[in-house]
Amino acid sequence: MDKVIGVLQLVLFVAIAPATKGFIHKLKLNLRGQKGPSIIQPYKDIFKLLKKESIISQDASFISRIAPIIVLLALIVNVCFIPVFSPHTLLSFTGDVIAFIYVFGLSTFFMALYGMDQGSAFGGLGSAREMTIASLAEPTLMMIMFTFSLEYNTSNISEIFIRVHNSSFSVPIAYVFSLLALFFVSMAENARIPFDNPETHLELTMVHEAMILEASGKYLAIFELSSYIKLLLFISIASNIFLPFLYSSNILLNILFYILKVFLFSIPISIVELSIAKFRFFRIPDLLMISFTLAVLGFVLYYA
Amino acid sequence: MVFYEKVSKDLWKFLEVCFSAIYIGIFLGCIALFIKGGNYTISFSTAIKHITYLFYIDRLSLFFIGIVAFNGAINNIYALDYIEEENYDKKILIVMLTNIFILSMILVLLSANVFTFILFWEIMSILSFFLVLWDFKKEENYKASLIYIVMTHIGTAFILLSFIGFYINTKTLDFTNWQNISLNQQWTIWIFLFSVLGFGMKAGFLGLHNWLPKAHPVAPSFVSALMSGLMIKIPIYMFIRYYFYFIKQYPISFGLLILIIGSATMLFGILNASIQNRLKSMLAYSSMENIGIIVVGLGLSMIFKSLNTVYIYSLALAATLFHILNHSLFKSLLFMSAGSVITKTHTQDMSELGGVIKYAPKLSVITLIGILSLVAIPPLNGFISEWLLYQGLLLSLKIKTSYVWIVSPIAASILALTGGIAMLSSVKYFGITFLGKPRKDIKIKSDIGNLSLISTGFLAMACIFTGILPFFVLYFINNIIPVPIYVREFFEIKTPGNFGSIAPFSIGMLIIFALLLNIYINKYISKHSVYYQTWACGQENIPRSAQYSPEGFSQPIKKITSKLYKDKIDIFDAIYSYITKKMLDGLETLKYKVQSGLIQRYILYMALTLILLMWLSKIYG
Repeated sequence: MDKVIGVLQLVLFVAIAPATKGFIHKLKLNLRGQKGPSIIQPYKDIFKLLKKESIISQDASFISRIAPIIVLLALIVNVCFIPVFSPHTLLSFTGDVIAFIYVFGLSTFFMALYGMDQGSAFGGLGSAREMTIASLAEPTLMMIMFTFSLEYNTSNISEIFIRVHNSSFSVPIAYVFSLLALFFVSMAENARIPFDNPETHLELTMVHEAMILEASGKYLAIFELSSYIKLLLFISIASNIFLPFLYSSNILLNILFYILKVFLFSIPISIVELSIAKFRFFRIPDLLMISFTLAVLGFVLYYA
Repeated sequence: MVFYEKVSKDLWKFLEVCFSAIYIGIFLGCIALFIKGGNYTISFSTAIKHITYLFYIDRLSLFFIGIVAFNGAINNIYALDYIEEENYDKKILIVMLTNIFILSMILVLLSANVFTFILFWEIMSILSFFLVLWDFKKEENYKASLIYIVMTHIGTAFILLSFIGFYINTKTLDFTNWQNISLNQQWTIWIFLFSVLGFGMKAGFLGLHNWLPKAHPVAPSFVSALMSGLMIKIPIYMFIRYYFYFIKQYPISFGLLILIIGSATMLFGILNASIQNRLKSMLAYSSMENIGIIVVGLGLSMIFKSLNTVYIYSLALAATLFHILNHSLFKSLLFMSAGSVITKTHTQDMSELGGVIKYAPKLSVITLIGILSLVAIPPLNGFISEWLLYQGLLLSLKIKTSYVWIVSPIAASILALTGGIAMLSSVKYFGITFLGKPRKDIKIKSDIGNLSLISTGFLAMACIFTGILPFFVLYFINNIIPVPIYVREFFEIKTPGNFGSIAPFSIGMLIIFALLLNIYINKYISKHSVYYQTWACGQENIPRSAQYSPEGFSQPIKKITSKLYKDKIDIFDAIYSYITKKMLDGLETLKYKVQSGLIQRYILYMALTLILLMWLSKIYG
């Protein structure tokens, strides 16, 4: 039964990942006063891309072929760590926070290698920027994970999930700081405004898009799906750890709550994207420093 | 005569194979002795009284000797290819130098009195000096080796001082009599200071590291692999001996200081690694980073040794030992593969390299495994040791001690930052060198030799093996540390108090399954693929110089951390260049004074020697 729930969580997660992206985009455009594409547009995009043939660079090595799939599969392994609506995930027996971060590193690593592989000027640019941001974001992510694993006396994600939901709100202010820090990190890791603009293909703003510029057809579909999953990963961590209420013993109700929470947590992303412009690249470290400070504050408040 | 020439021409190959076999023998012997257990003391008396060779074998030294012997065996096989390719004039000489260097490392690990230790320590240092100086015609090598020899001797002087500290307190020079001694506060501090300066000089602690990034890149690659993978671990072994075997009690501040030194070393090392544009310089700085990680583990276990919290002390020590093994494996691999690239392309400048993956796909895959292990990606071995270290740091926060509360989170976040920047520099290293197109007209002229592929491939297999099945390594480590780490074979490793658990085998299988799936998906996709030029805004035939350069790649991180680069490196450089120059000048003057060429002086020396010998024979005779 546990395994069934695990598979169910994985399927649900992957299934609603494009919708989250669609929702954020739609909301953003609506707030801007535009009509915008429907929520299911990302699904259509993926299916359209999957039907098309891939153009592969003549200078590319096998890294270009394996990297997209490794990125996707590493993220799916990460999904198996994360409790979506039940603590029984497929990998709950080994769902360690540190393992989570390092498996996450596997996808970042291969994404960056993909950017370097075709000998394109854009790819290297994207990889260099992405690695810079990712390396500076890592301490923050680690700090947030540390706060929660110390708070709940375990480094297992499923255990944290259970204990979060069983205990009352013990240190709400530490939660708030950690949530803010996580918000910054997830914007950075997912290449969204103010760190990167996912909608343009302008050299100045390119981080994530520059890396996958050479991808086309089926490979691009895989990359797109990976980026949707990555976004939802962070939203799920935030919603499940930081909003532990709305949780009952009924699985169907939990699924409903989960989807509700995901959409709830998507709203700030679109509002932030709407209200501020992309930052200059060398101001990004300042933002990440702020997020690190917030994470440290959360950590310190856990002690106090 | 022809036969003789043929034999002498290939004698070095025979020697390499023989030494390799000897090391395999030693390695297997180590495992057998380890499983059997027990401590052994072997002594050889010399003609001079009071001077005996004393060797002591226990499980800790067997663990280290096993690592040295394993890497030594593989290194010899690799050297067969490398020396052939480089075609040195004096092949037998370099073979003998390298192997006596490896053997002296093993003997240092076995030494159990001051005389034996200093003798083999010096042999180790001086032989590695000769090996760094091997290409003596290059200006750079000459300078690097001079700094190395001066610094390593300053280090030896401090080590001797710490030995004297022990001698004054115990009135004996045997390490076996130094077990669990309690010293008074003052002597502990002195010995700590001397040991940090002495051993830290060899290990490459921040501030004492200056020789390391200079000497490692200029040595022949297999020698760099030995120095970086093995030699800089020997001072760490002595640290473990000092603070877990010899000295019974010491204040908590020692561990804290070591922890801080380790954090600083790893951050400094990796920041510098990320801006290096030469293959082996990057690897050398990354060695410094890894020494930092090892030292953080060491510091953490020292803190909890003095606090008597045995389970964290064991966990951190296990992380240290595991990382020592891991680093020796993947750093040897990376130096060897870098060596293969350099011998084939005749350049180690990243701004000229590129696209090696097309000429040497097998070597690239092997290097990729090494690189992934370096950045601690599961399921490779680097991950297990970093996981243990993170767990140690996390668990340390459960103990209510004020200083640890401040230092541990800082160390943990520096470790995370280091991990991030390590990933950046690894992407740069692999991406610039192996991927894309060559940046200058360089081609790999012939295939990479089979033996170098076999040896590096074997190390890559070892990286995967110890990553997926760390239980075999943890079996040995568990026999060294006081509280074994809970290990359920093939399933999971658990840290104390059920705090964290991990199943490396499952994660490993999952990722291997993902790779297999990859093949099938790609088979399908490549049926529907078209090959065309890289897209460049609609232009065709863009020049290869349009690719991102290594300088450009690390420019953001360089700019962000620019304060560190502007001042600090030069300070260390200036200090040690000054010291080196002063010392060598002093030696020169001394040489002219002693060897003045006056016949009377030489007669005086003879007379003095005679008197000294007579006096000595009077005393001991």
